Amino acid sequence: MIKPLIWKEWHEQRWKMAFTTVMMLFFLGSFQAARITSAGEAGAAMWVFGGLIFALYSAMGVFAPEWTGRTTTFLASRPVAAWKVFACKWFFGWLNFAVPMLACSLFLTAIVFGSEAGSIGRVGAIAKGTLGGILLATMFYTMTCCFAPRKSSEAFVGLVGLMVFLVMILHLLIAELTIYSAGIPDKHSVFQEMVLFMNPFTWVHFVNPVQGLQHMSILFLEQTALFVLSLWVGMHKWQRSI
Amino acid sequence: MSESAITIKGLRFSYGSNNILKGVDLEVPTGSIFGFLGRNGAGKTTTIKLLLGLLTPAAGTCRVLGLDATVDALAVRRSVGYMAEDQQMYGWMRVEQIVKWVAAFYPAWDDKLTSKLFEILELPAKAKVKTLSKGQNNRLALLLALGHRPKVVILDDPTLGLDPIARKDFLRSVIVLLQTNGTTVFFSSHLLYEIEPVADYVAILNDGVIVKAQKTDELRRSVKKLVLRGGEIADNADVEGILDVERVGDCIAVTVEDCDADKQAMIQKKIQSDIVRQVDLNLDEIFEAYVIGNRGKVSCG
Repeated sequence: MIKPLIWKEWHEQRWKMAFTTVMMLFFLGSFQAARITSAGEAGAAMWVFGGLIFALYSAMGVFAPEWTGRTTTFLASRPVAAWKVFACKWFFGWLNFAVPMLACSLFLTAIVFGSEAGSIGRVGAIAKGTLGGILLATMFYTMTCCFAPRKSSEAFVGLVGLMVFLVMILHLLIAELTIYSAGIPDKHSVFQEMVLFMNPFTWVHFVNPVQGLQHMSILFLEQTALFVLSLWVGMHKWQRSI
Repeated sequence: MSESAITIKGLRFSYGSNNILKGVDLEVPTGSIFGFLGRNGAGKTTTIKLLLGLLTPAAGTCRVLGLDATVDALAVRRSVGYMAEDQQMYGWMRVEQIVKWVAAFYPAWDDKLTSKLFEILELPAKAKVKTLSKGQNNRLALLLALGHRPKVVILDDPTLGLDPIARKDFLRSVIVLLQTNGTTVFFSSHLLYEIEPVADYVAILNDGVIVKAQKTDELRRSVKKLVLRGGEIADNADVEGILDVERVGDCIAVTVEDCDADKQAMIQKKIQSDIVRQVDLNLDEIFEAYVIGNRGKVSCG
């Protein structure tokens, strides 16, 4: 029963995916051609801003159109479990920004290979940055989708997304201030900064550092728990949105 | 096999603090055409959504073809054909695409029947759904509800927005397609004069409960308007079965259910006048009496 859902979502989202991919490649290519920024800076800007902006755009266009188009009942009355509908929609909305970000990654990799010596390290950095960017955008996208009111327009989902973004910034500021007040030198990697941005509980571990693998395992566990909670809230909202 | 295709017992549901259904009890006989009547906001669509397992009741049970709608919602939806009120479908799909898409959800989908329905309902296969007229949209929704040969068909105000000729054509299609197969049809409508010639049974939903559920013929036979010349309107509330009392010129009109000789005699005694005329009512008038009738509670004079 999931095939027709996949077919429908693919047909609804494919042009958006194509649009965002073209737009991101265009901007990245333009920055590179005009030598406005380095490849690294352009990549970082694209991942953070492009990923977040297109993640928001994606979140607005996944669930809300069913409500504004009044097709929720038509979809929900099919003999298919609500969680499958939710999962399909979430996944194709996710592809809408993950695919363009991957495309940008490949583009940057091509530039790096084409222009610099010793570029394997840079490729590794691109890969790490891409993964971090997609994780960041995924968290933001999921929380926006899931915490938007049950029956809301695309514009309202956009507002919710902005609020989620502000809350994430606030968490980052609280984390930074706490770490600064504790006298811990701010030598966080970009990846650690992203993690601080995503997970409101992460700062606890940076203030009282736990050594080695245990530290990262706890962080990922918390990330996963928060992520699963967002999905659970969202799924129940979707089920009650009829 | 159960004699009732649909059984509802003690059904309660609220939207927040707004109690919509306050204990609905209903049985829909298998193979019947059942008209479900009620005012706007009475809870007809809510009841239908509960039958499909799209909502969870606060209390009570709904069973469709013996299946519990809350526990076996998917099985219910697989067995039932449903047409929502003012059903909106995906405008970007072509008619044949949406039929194929819906068919994929139903293992029992019958392609031969679908082809036949395309001809009977005169649907343009290649047209996009967003270009269809209201009548075509409704006929497409009906096709999608019937393609898997359901044993129960639920139609929520299926003629909403159609002009009189389109409504007649639509109802004719429903009867032709469904009556011969012994399919149970449960449909809600505001247009009572249209339900009257087609429905075997009717139920009236008012103030969260079913106030009347009966065979259409029996209901028409049992509810009468008695016209008495002169007399005094007093508080007739203690006469059981009085639905409405009103003064019309120099006459008093009493609408009463289960109108038999004893009841007529009691009313004549209460009003101190003789019955000059007994009027047969149509379904519209019966519905009005049940829903907004004063139940004989009138002030004197």
